[in-house]
Amino acid sequence: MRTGTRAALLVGVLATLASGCGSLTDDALRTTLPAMSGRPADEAPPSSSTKAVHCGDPTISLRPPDRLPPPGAMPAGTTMRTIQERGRLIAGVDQNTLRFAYLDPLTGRLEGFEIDLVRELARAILGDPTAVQLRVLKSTEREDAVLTHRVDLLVDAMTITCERRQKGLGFSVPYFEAGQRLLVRSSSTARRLEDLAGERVCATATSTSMTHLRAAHSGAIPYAVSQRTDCLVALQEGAVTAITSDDAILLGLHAQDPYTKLIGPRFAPEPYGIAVDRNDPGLVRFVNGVLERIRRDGTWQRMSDRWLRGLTGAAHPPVPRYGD
Amino acid sequence: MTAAIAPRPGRVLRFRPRVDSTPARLRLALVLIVVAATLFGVSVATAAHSRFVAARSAGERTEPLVVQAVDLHSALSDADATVSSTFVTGGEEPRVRRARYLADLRRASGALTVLGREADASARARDAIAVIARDLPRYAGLIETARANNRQGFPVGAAYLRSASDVMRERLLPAATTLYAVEARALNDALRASSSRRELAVLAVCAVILLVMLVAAQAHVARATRRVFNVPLVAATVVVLAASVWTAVAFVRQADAAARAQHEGSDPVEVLSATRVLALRAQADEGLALASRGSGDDDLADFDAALRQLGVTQPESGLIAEARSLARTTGSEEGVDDLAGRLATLRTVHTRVLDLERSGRYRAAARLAVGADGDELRAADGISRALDRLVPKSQRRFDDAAADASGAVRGLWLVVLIAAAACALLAFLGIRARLEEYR
Repeated sequence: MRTGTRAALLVGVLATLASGCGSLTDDALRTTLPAMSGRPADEAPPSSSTKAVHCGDPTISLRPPDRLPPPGAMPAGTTMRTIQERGRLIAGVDQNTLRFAYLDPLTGRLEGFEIDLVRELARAILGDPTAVQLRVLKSTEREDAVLTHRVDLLVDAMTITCERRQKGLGFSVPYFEAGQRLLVRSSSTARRLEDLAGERVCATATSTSMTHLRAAHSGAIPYAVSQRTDCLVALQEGAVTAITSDDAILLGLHAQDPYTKLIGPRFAPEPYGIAVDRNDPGLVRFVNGVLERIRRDGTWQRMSDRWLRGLTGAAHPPVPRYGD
Repeated sequence: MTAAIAPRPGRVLRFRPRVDSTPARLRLALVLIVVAATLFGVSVATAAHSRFVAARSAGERTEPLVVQAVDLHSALSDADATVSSTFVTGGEEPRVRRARYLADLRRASGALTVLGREADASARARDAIAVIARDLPRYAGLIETARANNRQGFPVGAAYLRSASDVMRERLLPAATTLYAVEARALNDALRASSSRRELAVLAVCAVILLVMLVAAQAHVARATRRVFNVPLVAATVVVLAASVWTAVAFVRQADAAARAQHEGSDPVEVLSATRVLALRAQADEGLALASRGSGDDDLADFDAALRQLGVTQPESGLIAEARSLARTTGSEEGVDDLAGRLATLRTVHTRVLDLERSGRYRAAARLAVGADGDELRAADGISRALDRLVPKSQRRFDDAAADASGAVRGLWLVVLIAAAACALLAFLGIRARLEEYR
């Protein structure tokens, strides 16, 4: 009896002592792990459709008014009036295309032909070329930005196409005539798209270049990226053999890498237009009026001489065609 | 002696040890006590030693690896955040930023080397180390290409930076997180091994068996010899009882210290480090959002998500609340309050940056975000400094508690063995004296 009591007592003491101490948990690990796991990866860029839409000549635009309203006196009820009251023009642009619109890493400023064009539009509406908010858009989101009015207008090397018109975009007359070509390493023996069968060719996901590349059925393997300069990274890192885009953009890439060359003929025309909402014909006519003026007073030529010298299509402004 | 337990001649068919005589019973009791004492000595000493080894390895080996894993993760996050904000500034990168990026890379490779040499040999840890060893040079290469292009004014530099950031966020940081998870779990397991109840149970069972033997032997001796106390046997009982209580107390003190090491040491280190990682992520998001000039909605959403996880908006949930409740046990909430205040500043500065950016004053927004405006200390740097003060304190608390945990059982195995040997010897002496009366 005595032994039993003693043993029970000992076990009791041990149990009491054991239950007294704090317990170990994985709580901290459970709460910190999600924090350490970082942000989820971005989605892959959507790819463009391959089917072509026909609507005649897509570059035909609306005739401008005979006389533009003076800066700072926009007619009531127009988008220009809204911009005037806001005090600044919100424009969608790119920041990666040398000559047209790029971020100068030395100054941290956006520069280029298209940036100057935006400033001319701001001057026409507000009388102040610096009353501008530039919104840099990824190639994949720029159409939506216009349709949802995140930007007033888009000046972003956008090719005027029937497909984009059908999506609800309205276009000015072309402000530049580019054409699609190929950029390869200078050691490459390829001379045209047909020589690149079985090779990977880079283009931005939702560009007309990608649509044309798919439609050409040349045997080249399309490689989609979300921004134009990503193609140059892919070429330099050896992920692709060639880049296809507008010659204007390709020359900008070539300027950053002398070990590349442009090859082949222009295999598709790429007229660039200023994109706005199609349901805003007043704005289209106004923009066409501004383009008319800068073509006539030599501003277009001055801008072209500054930014586009050496490019096919830089010598003369495109000839406008108006539907009505 | 042997004749006592040999079968009787002529009764071969019925094996029965001769324990019906008193000397035989006494001899059997002695054998049983010696066996039980050996069992007690070996089992309890082994248990004590294994707990000592577990506590020492938790403190001296596993925890430093957790620190290295945490360091690797925050060095990589810091590099990402530093680089992302160079997107924004324009012009030649400030020299402090470049120096900070290079220091981050050095810290990351240093931590990786230690982890590679010491890390838990699990396949997950090895794979993660391999990923970082392979992709860190790739990341650094992309950054240098970006820099070379930037210095020539080429926009492709920004594309290389984006590409580098993808490698960081899709390859390097997930691998660093895996390493952290493996090492933190190993630490918790080691602390658990140094405070498990199993050794207490072993002690209880062995001690009870031995004490029952001793007491039964004394009862028998008392009945057979009409003497109430057999001094050596009583002494043996006292020795075993004392050793058992000592061991039990040491085990419990050790378990307490291990729990303290976790609650006041490693848990706060982990929570505070996660806070740092999230603050850096928010900072990188702000830089990327500004750099993408109006198309950074994903980055802004992630900034908000990071702040939500920190609990800047709702103080009752999130990592700050966790850090505060951990700090309460050591009465060091002040430091956490300071940190929370700085995180709140990060948010107010961010709101002002966004306001400036949305009203088209991009340059002003960028200057505010990178703290270029002179006297205003950069919110993110303040957070970093507050953490640099807090983390070493928790680190010291861990070291102290871990030293207590191993100190509580240091040399205990020897005490147990000596007690067991003394018990066997005393039992032998006590029983031999009685046996001699039967000669």
